[in-house]
Amino acid sequence: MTTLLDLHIHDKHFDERVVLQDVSLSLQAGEVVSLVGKSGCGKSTLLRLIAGLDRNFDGRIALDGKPLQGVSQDVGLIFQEPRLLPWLTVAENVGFNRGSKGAANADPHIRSLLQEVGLIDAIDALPKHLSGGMAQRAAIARGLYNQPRLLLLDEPFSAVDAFTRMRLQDLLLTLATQHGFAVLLVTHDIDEAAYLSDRVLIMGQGEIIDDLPIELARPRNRHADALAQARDRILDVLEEIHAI
Amino acid sequence: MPRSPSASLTSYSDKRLVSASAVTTSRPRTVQAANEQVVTDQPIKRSKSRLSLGWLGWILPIALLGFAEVAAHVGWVQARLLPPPSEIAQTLSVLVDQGLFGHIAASSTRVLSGYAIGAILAVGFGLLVGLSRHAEAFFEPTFQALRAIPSLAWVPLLLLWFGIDETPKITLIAIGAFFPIYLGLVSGIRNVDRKLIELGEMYGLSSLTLARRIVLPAALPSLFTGLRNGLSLAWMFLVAAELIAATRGIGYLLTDGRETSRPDVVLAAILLLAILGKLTDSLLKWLEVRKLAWSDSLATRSV
Repeated sequence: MTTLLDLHIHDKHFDERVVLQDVSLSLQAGEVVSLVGKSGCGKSTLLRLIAGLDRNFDGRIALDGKPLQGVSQDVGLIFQEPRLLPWLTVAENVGFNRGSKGAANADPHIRSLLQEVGLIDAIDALPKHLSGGMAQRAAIARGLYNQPRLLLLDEPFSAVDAFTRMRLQDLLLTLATQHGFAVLLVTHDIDEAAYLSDRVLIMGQGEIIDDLPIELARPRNRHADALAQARDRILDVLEEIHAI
Repeated sequence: MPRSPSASLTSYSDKRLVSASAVTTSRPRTVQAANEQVVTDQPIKRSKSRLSLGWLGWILPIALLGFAEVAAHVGWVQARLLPPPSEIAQTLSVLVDQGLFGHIAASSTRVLSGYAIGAILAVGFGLLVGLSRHAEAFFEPTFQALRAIPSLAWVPLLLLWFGIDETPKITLIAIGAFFPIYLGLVSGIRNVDRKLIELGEMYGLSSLTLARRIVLPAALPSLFTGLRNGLSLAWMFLVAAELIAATRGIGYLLTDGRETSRPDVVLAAILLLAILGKLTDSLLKWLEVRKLAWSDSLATRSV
């Protein structure tokens, strides 16, 4: 395993309010890591910094040992909402960033991505015809279009129903294995964090408090006792933080 | 993971609804995803019900015309002041012989040229002000002041400047059409979802590309609202212009009907304005429905 992402944020603040302070994080290639913590603890901000959407901070972020400056093709970001452009078809949304012209629905790369996320039959559909789960699948395909080394996800499955969420979680794991990208996932869902992650990072106010490895073989069984124990460990730490 | 689609590449037609309904028929093969499948035939249903409801809109005008006809014949109203529809229809056919189409052509030409000038200027300035903070700071205060002037106040000035031929009329119509279109476009650009902009930033788009690929398409619904509002104002200012000084046009018919005490002519002119206004608005609406087929809200709106 090689280190893919290595960062240290000395300080990030909005006006007077400190959002992140002395946060260090490193991610191995292909690793799946979750960030959990209560609302407003700085999880999403950290994700935005890595994504390059906010460059106003004191610290350094390196990908493969090279400093990341601004947005990069190697880093994909999936938002809580699908954010599909409503005037483009599924194929055109997935290939939004492609330089070459021509019909998006004939692009073999787009077709194979849609095949993988199970949307090939809706390749020409407009977003208004998609369910929440389908729209998020399209967003995932779009996030993978540039073949990122690191996929960032900001509570990506929080707006879909429980069954769809489980299917999307499994889809994410399958894609991560097949494409070999690393995953950094912000989530409020402790079950999700335990089920998906190799490691769970627990954030307090603006800092990473704990780093819990989840050493369970894959594919994991959602009903296994070991998974329940892992979840309880995360919960214990979170409760401890909030008791202080 | 679904199996590869049975349809060949070329069968993905441009018609979205066709391919969308193909989704529903081929989808159940994948049981896994069947749960989150949307009902893609919904818009088709909607348009059917829209069509079948169209006749409802005819009830009120027909009933009103019928009532006016009866009221005049029975003597509830003085036919001298409110002539029955049958008489107005007769008047119209007489007017056709006396060159009605010339009046219609004169008015339509004025509206279309004034509207076109107003719309082009409005889109130009709207883009500038909507996309550039500097242009906004430079132009907005002036435009706000100009907008505060009731447009009819321009009439005397326009007559002084341009005399009484076509120029002042077209200028007045252009002024009338300008502001709704300009405001629609600017507010459309202002209200583009911040999250979509962020998506563009995620792709490292330049501001110009961002404007072309995200901001403008997203502002299109608001621009269309402005275009339609501007069109109705264009007709309004046409009448204002023609009432004041014209020898041809529907506004002239109005003045002529009043001066010769012919309520049937006045009502015929009003009827013509209603028809022309509705026709041109329908044209824009048709364009809007075509251009904004992607809009979720439009599908539920009745035509």
